[in-house]
Amino acid sequence: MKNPGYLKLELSSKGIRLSKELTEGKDLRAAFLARAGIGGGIDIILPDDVWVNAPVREAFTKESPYLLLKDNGNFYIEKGGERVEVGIIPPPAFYEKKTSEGTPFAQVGTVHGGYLTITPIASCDFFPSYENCKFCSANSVMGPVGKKALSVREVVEIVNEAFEEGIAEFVQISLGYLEGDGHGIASLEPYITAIKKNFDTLLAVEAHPPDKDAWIDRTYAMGVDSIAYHLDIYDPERFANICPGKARHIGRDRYLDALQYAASIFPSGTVTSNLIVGLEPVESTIEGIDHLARMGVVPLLPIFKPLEGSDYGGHKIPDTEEIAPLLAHLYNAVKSNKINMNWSKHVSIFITPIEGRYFTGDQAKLEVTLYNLYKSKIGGLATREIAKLRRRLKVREVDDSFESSEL
Amino acid sequence: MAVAIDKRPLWVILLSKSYRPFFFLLIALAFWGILSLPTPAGLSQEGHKAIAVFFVCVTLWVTSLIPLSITSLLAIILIPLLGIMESKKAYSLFGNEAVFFILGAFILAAALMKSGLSTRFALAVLSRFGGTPKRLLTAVYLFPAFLSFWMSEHAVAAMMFPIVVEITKVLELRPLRSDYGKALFVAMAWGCIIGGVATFLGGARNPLAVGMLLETTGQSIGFFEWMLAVVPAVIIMLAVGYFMLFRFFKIDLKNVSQVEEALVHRKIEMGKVTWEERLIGLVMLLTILTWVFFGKKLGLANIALASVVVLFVLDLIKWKDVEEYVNWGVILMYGGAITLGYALDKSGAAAWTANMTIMKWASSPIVVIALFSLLSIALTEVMSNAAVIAILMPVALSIAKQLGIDPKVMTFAIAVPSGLAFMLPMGTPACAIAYSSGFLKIKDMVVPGLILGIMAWLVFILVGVFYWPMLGLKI
Repeated sequence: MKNPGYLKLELSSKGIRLSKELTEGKDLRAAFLARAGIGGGIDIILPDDVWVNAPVREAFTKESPYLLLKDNGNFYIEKGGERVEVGIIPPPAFYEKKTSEGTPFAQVGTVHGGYLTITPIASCDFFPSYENCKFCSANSVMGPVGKKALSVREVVEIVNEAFEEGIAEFVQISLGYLEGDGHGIASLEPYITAIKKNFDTLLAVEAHPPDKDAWIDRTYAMGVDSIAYHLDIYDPERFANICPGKARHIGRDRYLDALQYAASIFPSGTVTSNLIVGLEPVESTIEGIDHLARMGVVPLLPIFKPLEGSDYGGHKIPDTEEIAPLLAHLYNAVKSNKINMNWSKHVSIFITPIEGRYFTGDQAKLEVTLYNLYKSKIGGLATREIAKLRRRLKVREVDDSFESSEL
Repeated sequence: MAVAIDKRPLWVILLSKSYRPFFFLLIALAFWGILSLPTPAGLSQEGHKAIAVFFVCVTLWVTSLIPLSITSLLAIILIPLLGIMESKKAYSLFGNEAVFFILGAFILAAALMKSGLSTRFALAVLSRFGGTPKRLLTAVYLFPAFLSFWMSEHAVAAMMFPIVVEITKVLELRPLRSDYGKALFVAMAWGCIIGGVATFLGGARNPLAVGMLLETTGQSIGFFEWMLAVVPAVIIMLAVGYFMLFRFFKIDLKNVSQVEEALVHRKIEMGKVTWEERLIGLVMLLTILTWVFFGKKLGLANIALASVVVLFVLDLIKWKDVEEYVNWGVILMYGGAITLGYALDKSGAAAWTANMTIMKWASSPIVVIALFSLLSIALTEVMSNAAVIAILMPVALSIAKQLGIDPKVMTFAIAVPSGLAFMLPMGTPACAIAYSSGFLKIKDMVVPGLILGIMAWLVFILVGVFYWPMLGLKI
């Protein structure tokens, strides 16, 4: 309970039970309006400003040894009579509102940590052919939005709501697999352009690797500050079994190639890839961490959750004792490859590399000071301005018209 | 619009970007420095200032720090501001006949491109003559050459490019590996380049040179006269290029029968020849005939613009199409270049510069012609061909006057080689377009391009020495 990193790991994988007062009260009511699935839990601020999104809805959370309760206006996490005071991020008030086109905001985007995650095109072409990743519950949680793409206006509205409310600092756009050589990245351009034009924010995209590297160039040029191509499983055989669509239509090698290329285009620490902990042997995940880190990619380690609606809904939760050394390895791998660890701040849905220090015994004073600087208001402003300047310097528009050579 | 990401470290990019302000500052200081120097003996005050303006423009044209057209506008502004010439005169030179001829030619080419007539011609020719790999390659070489007689070589390259790309796809040729694929793109580029020097229509630089000749000497070159002087050289250059094409690139496939099917498919997509296409073809044909037979009497620009009016009267083209296809920057660039050339000549700056430079080692007229044509062919590889003309013509015409060389010959000696950039992608848009195919490495263009450039220069000199005197052109 005293190690916030370890507590985050425990809560991420086992979830948390809510006291009767919290279940029936108004404090967390809006949280249940948002989509279930990854990031569908409650955001809790642990000691040391460590943020965690603790699952509360899934069946396995009923067995969790952790209880969230409210006492005298303060929130606590209790386990076996021991208590730790925590903060709660109140679920956004805008979850209860609707867009101008009538879509409930809670179905348009979710807030977890400092991130507003939007899925403008709620579709993944792996599902119709039953080639979806087996741990993914997207098909069942996309809800009433279904296959309809959100309008740019709706997306701008939700970002505006989240920023006005002061509940999110960054925007993340999530995209399922779509056919075509860019795999849908071009269709995100209007949303990205509109967000960048209207808000001074950093923007992350999680998508599938496009067939050609030119699309990665374009992704950076259109204003994306951080890109994630989630490999999810490193072991080739398991990758093909668990993610048949990814293996068949994109291929594991393309994931690795695209990540390597993206790491040469995006700033250090902004290219990420998930390796889900608990679906393959620890040795394989370690190999994956090392491979990605060597390429300059930040491996992220979400803990496997048996999400309702996914093929693996009944799968067992990984043992946190086995995971702890992985997180220590993550921290060391990212540090030794000199990858910037400071981009991911106020991340609640997975353990960031800098949080891996809690499992190493390393105080990481320099890293933590830098991280805190990045987290400050001035640090945030500087990060955004440097990102803009970098893009301005790096991106060249190439006119393919014959007139461009000025006769 | 495609994007490319600069992968150099940020500090290198920052350093490379920060040179611009320093460079502008240096140019401004040098400009001020030249103006502050005492006026040399034999040079008027206006000539002194004109040389300062010329220096600034040459630097900006060569470095392309700002668009060529904007440099030209700067010239038009500086000339009256420094008292070299009155504003009224400086701006009136912009209304030179050559500028309007270029405008008319651009609009006519726009009509051809927009109607799809040029593409239809290309498909018909390739389909008719492209039965074997050798014949197909020959057609891809000669047809753009012929078409570049009648419309801008750059437009021809842009029109041919998708067709050649389709041919390479149908034949499953591998980029950078297939010699035949390389040969197809090089053939397209060489054809366009060589054909583009044959008439006034292949490259707007030709009328620009004639416009400068007219403003400086009062003499002009007619449409037919130009063709008569240049086409024999073009034919020989085409023959040399043809020989080199087969020498440098192996035909590494035996059959091109699949191409026919693809071309037929494209023809079906285009449908039947429309009345619009027929009428545009007719207008174009009549325009060319009028240029050839009545060009001197009626004026080339008048004929071009009359044809443009006819196109609009018959509703064969919309203003939107003109805006899309016409390169307005070139029009501005040429107007400014003519003004600057005139100012250099009238102020005596061109004559003085000539005396101080080439005249010192000009042993004979033929050496001067050889030197200028060599300079023109070398410069055009690394800078815009129009800029080459703008820089060399004023000085060259002044030297021609002093050595008694026919100024028309000097115009040919600058204008024709300035179009012959075979080596580098940045030399001419036709090469840039071929290179953009991804089939060619730089060395695939440089080595044969260098040899062809030297051969073309030799052909040009031989034609000048042995053939032009028969036309009454005296070196």
